[in-house]
Amino acid sequence: MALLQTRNLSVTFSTADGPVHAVNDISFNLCRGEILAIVGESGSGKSQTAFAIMGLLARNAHAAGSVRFGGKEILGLHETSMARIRASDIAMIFQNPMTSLNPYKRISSQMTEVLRLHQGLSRREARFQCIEMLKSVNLADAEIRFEQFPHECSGGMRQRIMIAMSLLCRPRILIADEPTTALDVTIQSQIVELLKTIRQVYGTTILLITHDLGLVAGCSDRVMVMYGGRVMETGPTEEIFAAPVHPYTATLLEAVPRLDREVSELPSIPGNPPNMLGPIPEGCPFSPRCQVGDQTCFTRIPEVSRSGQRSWACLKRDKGTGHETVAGN
Amino acid sequence: MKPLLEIENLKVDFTLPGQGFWPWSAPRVLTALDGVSFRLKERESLGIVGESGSGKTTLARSIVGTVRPTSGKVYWRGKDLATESRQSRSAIRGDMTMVFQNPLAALDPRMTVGRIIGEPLQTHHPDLSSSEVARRVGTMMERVGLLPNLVNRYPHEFSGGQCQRVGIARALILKPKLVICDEPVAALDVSVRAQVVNLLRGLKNEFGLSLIIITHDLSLVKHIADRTCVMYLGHLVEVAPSSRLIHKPLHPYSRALISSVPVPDPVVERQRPRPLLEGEIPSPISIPPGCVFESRCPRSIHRCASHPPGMREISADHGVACHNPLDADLDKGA
Repeated sequence: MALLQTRNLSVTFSTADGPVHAVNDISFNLCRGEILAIVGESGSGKSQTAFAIMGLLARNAHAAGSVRFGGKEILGLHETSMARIRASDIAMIFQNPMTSLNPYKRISSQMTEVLRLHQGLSRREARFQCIEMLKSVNLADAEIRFEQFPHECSGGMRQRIMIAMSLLCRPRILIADEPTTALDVTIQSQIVELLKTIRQVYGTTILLITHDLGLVAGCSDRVMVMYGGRVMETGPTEEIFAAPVHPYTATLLEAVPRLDREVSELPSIPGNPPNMLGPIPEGCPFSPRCQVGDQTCFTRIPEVSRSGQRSWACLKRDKGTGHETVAGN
Repeated sequence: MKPLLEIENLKVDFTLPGQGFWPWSAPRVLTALDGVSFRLKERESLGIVGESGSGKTTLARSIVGTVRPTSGKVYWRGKDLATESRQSRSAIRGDMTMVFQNPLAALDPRMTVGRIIGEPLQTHHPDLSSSEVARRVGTMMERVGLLPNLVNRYPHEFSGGQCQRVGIARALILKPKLVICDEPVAALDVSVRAQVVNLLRGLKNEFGLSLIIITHDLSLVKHIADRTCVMYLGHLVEVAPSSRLIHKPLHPYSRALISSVPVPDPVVERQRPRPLLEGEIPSPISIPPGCVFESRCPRSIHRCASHPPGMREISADHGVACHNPLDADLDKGA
């Protein structure tokens, strides 16, 4: 059974300009021990999905649907019970390691606080475990860094500290929201290797949220592609990259500049990402930019088609053709 | 032919307040750029890549003149910018413009898009009539892919990609010779990124521009730059034609940088050998005496710790600053 089941999750923000439908009716499973990547551009709803799971949505947001963790409904759970889940079961690391550490507190007090509060450890025990954890995320000079303030560490070190901190209570799920976006490429590949090691050593299930398709290719088992608050396509990483079914996935993969491929002109997707303000579009959110779609795409929301481990939501790629595309490769 | 732009031994220091309690403790010096030299030909596009803290942006700023170099020279068509008169410098500034990283932050939120794009025209050509300015703004907007009827909108009404188009239009309205783009697409989404890259390439050919593209993204450089400089801790470590640099890098840092770029293909990505670079970029406040990359270099030899390597021409157009460069042919033999 899936460790985390999300069914028909929707997130709506009420703003002064009207409701913003950030996430519309998405469903997915997160299985034990896998790395699932949620890929999407800004505004596709990938981060809000994570916040909804964590119960960390902004005050003006409303989440509907169902999120089950180990068979238990956790959406709309009372704050104290949610805090307990965040403490021990689902941890999250954020995009910018600068803003997610408290600048006024030493690393030591921020880290030991977690263990002392949630596991009731003594100061000395907590300190010992924290330093061990810092060493296991390959932080150089862990003892020295432990006594420093966040501003004394570089971005990559801070991200390692964040990861170490999130692993302290041995969570079963780690949600990593753009963990490498703020880092340089050489540091980025170090962090990716670290995430893979963590999965192996602790058996942590990882939900990786990113816009970077290269990152996804390197470390995830399955991919879920989001656009305009909806899931476009889900499937095993190799299959999605080898034979994308949804037109959005296909054009997105084409549009990424690659070091190993020679092209004279980058294929680009015309138009701009959708504005999420206003009523939910009646059709597929990608229809205004789609090269394949026609009038019906603007008026009907595509149902999810499935074939094996893959699923997609596109009117122009129904079950039959989708099958062919998959089988053809 | 004289190069359009020539940088000679450029050095930029920033003075930081001294560390410690006493106000008279010696100030510290942060060396942002040291010994940077290169030439840019007309109609050439040059990529500058490096990690954060490598001095890319400081280089751009010292070219356009918002940072005063500590030593070294910037020549524009053979004229030393530092000794030129105020007026002639201001004229030259009209010939080199900049496109910034964060499009929304670079545009004044209280000005309409039309005024933002037209402002440089009014500054440099105050004699132009307002109808002429409006006409040129309209043509330029159309050229960069913005509908001219959006001229009275404000920046917040645009998406990131459109704002970057506004920034590009503003940079091009004076018909400059050189456009310096500081991370032009880093803040944009993947699907929009390709549009802006293609736009820049098209404009370069149409207007006969020279481009300096500052980026941390090597795959971008490959698509847009003829030649690429790799920077590390304020030093140029390698200069080569872009495709040669990517396929046959000579400096160990260039190779590490290239192999760190993830490829969006699971099959390639999982098989690729990846010499992970250990550690992080050192502090620019106390730069080591020898090669700047020595502390992280997998190929460092005895000399590296004490003698800074100078830039050597390995072949025409390909320079590297390393005592022990990678040599593709030698490696095969060994």
